[in-house]
Amino acid sequence: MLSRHAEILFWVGRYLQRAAQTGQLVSITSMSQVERHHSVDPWRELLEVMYLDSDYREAHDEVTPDGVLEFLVLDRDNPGSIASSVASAREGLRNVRDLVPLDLLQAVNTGHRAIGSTTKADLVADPVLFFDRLGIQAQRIAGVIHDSMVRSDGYRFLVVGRYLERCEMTLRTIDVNRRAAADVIDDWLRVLRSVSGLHAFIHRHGALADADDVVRFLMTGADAPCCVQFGLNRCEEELEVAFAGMPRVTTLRAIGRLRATIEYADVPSVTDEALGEFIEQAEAAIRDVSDCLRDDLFPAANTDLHAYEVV
Amino acid sequence: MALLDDYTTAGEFCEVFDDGVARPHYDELVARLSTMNGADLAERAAIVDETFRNLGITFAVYGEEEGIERTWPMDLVPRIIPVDEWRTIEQGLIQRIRALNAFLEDLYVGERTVFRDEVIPSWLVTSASGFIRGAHGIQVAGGVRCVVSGIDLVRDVDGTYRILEDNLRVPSGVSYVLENRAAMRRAFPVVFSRYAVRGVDNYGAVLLRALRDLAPRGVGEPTVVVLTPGVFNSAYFEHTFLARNMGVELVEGRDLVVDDHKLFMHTTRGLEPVHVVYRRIDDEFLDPVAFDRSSMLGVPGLMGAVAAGNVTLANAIGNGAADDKGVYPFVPAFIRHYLGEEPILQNVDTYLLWDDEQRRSVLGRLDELVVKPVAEAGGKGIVIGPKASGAELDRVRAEIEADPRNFVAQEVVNLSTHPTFIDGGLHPRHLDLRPFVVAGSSIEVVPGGLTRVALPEGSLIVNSSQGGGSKDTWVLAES
Repeated sequence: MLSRHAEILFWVGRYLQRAAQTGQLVSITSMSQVERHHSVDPWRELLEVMYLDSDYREAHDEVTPDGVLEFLVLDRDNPGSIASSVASAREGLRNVRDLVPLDLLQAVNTGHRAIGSTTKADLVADPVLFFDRLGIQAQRIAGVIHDSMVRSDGYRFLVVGRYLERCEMTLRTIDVNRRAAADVIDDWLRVLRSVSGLHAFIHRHGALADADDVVRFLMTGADAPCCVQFGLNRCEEELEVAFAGMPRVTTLRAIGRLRATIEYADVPSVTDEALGEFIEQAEAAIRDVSDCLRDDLFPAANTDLHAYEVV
Repeated sequence: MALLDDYTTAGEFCEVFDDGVARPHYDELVARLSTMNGADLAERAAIVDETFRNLGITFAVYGEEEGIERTWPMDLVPRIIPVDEWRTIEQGLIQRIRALNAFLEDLYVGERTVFRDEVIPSWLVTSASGFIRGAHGIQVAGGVRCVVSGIDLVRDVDGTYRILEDNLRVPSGVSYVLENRAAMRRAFPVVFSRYAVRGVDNYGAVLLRALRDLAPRGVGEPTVVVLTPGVFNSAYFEHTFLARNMGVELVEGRDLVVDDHKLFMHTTRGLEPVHVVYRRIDDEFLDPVAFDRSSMLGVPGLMGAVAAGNVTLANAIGNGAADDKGVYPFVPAFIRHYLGEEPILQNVDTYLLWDDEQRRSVLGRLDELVVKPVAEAGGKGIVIGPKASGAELDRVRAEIEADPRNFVAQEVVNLSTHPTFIDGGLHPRHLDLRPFVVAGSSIEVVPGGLTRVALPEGSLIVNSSQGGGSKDTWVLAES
């Protein structure tokens, strides 16, 4: 497939995943407001997970639930908001609409229009309803991708984008929570819920668990989609097929190295500062995969071409 | 009240009724409509609009800021063309394309018999803005230059189909023909099934076959691509549609590179050769080396690859010499010259303003005629005499006198009308028809085409960029 299209689909995958996951995170945070005990301010924490705390402060004087809610969901001036992510995914899909099923275009367009017609008042009045609907839209999109996309390279780059984004979000969620909440298991259960991993975790470990179990699961779990290990495995599989037979693919080296690092890692305890370092290195390695991918898709120098100079 | 109860028409040819009685091929449709009321139709229209919106079936309107994408406007009352009428149209179009193609071959790689035999003055052709000097001597595969053409037809007061305009460069609209059909099948499944309507859904196969027919010699499995200027082009939806329906890549100039007079595209597996380009970019933007140096849309060196015979471009470069409105009046003469046949479909009566005598006569009755700039598209710059103000007529008079080659004048054709759903009821609106002709190793006409409707009452301008609507067009099968 065209390199340009591959890159667009990779980013469509990232934006779609970002929108879905942001929805999940905000939804859990907004619901946890009704619970009483928190060791941290969940809204502030949410902004940190998204790396959007300084952006938020530029536009707002104080962190209020309604302010953060609007900022993360509807604010088109915030490139990380759900509205912006869906708009970016939609814009990307417009460029590749011949390569994806019409069902996918329809699902994303429907979601885009639903968000566009939501006002701050609607959102604040009934966030549960909004996030329920958003969740259904996200599942519909995921379902269409899984169910009707041809397993072409286009599908592969889209899936790689989705899982890389998901890995990043999971890493950030752990990172933000590790500082304040080491011994409050309730907080860690909330973390699991916010990455759609609670059921998978309990299924695997039983309900009697501590914070370290949760972190180890989210890092090295190989059979639940919320886990970093799972996501990296999927990325590596898809990239190996997409680049099969190609010489010198730096992306494959980068993803393989990262996958192996996580797989064989001794994940530090949440009480250990080394966990922060470990996460930081993993995040840097994910960025490296993204950079390598761009370099592999767009080799800088086709110097052997007899290029036409336009003078 | 049922929908057609008080439907009346004025002087124009009505597609549906003849003296108040439905024409035979409209019987079923009229019967169905007379059981419905405005609310029924409005409900279906809303469903269709919602589907178009969710599928992103839109077109962009230049110069409009917000909502540059508008939902495609389709009217729910289809136009129906009976077998015998269609046979005439089909034969007339094939004849016309054969002659226009022969003219272009003669002009660019032939002996220019058309000038030698004084069928048309050479200065008129070489002064056409679409004439490309650089295309001289460049052979095209199979001698087929008009691979995809859109020919605009209108019906005058007695119902005769006439050619209004030829589009031999990058005619748009075929995607909407297919989308309209898909929408109509859903909105009116029962009526649709009562008619034996000829299908249009195999357009992707028809086009791909034609393009592969025209691959450079010696290429066993040619790679075909669609070349688009990009997502901001008003016809971008159509470009994606064509790529999807043919199952080929939709490329932009930046995806392509020419090396050693061969064309390649950048893929995830390196450079891959490209043999046939269905390009939806105008000639002057194709190659910044050969044409407009500031163009960011094209591919440096593409013309060289074409001239070397390694790449087929569809349509060929320089077709604008044949569909120029100043050349249009001579097409019937081309048919006689190249084919030795009489034209099956007539032109609209057209006056040449560079001819002193004709110009004098035209300027004397500007208020009765239509004046068109020869090189504009999309209905731009057209002045309809009977509807124009005195000031407009004065302006166009001055423009004609300053540059007579740049305009033609035509008798006003009072386009036929068709019941169209507006404000909850059916009202007569003017329409035209753009059938699409695809030429590979043989010539095929897509049954039907894009029927465009002028939505404002009395308007004769059907272009979608100027608020026109569209209708599904049903060509009936031979029984």
